[in-house]
Amino acid sequence: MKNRIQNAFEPIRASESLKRKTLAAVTSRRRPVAGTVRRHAVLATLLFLAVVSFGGYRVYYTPTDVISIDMESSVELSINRFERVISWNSFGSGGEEILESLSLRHKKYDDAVCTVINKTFLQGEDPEDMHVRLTVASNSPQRQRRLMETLAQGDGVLGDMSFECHAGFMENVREAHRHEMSLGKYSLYLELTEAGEELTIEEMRKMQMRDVRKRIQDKDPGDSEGAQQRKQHGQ
Amino acid sequence: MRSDQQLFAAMERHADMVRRICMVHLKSEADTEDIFQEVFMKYVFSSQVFESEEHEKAWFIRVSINACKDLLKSFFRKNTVGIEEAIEPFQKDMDDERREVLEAVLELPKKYRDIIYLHYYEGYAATEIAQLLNKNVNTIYTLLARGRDSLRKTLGDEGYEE
Repeated sequence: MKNRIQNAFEPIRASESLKRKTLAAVTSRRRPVAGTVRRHAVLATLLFLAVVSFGGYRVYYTPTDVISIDMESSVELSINRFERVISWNSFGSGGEEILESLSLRHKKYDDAVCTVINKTFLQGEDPEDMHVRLTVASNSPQRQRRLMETLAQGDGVLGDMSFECHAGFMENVREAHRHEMSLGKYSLYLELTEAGEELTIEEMRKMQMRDVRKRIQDKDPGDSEGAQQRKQHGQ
Repeated sequence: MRSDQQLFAAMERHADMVRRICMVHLKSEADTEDIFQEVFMKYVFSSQVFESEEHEKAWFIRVSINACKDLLKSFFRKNTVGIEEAIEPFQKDMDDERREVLEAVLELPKKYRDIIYLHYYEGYAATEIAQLLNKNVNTIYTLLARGRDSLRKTLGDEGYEE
């Protein structure tokens, strides 16, 4: 067996192009400012200043979309028109812990969502107990649809976790924050009260997401099936 | 931080092994490139002092396996491809026998693959693998035996003494 396995693995070698790419990546990381790199840095700085003077900064740092990630804790990402994260908030206990040590600024929105979910998972949450509810709000319906379609693909790789992706409204974001809640949780509050649930905003704010889910299920036992359908269709 | 010369030398010594470990875990070329860069980047910036080449090799094995496992944990990981595509870059050096054995190893459950590779290709004993992977020696013996049985079933009995 040894000979056969050695013979089978023998042709597997690192190609020269793989080595070259790796050397280039490592050495460029090692020398951030030297020669041409320095010239590029100066040019990039000048370009950056020019962009800033033309209002690019303002454009870049204007949020156009919000993604609320509600698990047991809630994290909310503000996204710019370039689909990059420009700011984030946490709500509820544990949210700050998730964000601690994460570098989300300028990250593409789907990578950022992935990073937050991964961090929660790596903190030891059992996947079967994890419920991920994303709520996406945007100034543009087309962009909202595109963001939701991309994020819904995450369902295919979330394994045993329960996953839902919902649409939200930008006009609810400020109101949600006023009540110290994420957009996702506040949207759920609106849904519940519209359905006739007797629930104050203060009660909702104090509720854990698992209790909110239980309340929804108690109200409409068929909803777990609905959630599963949403999971499957990524809606 | 290590010098360019140290990096080149380490790459000469371990690049092929890191590539094979990537093959054992990952199928995509893009993922392999990421892991390759990560492993050698860690080497350059690591302050780990190696007592011998064997010690250095063991470090590369551990770091490569951990990097692959971390990548596979990522829920939104894309670039999932099949074994066919993984072997494709080495097509010209693959005869039917090699392909059959390689596919059989890569199709093993992942808990067996590292151990089969480390034992049969790199020549590590079960006790050394246990130390490398920070696992119980008896677990390694069990996984090795099960991996071997599974290979025997796929490839037939011929030539499958230890």
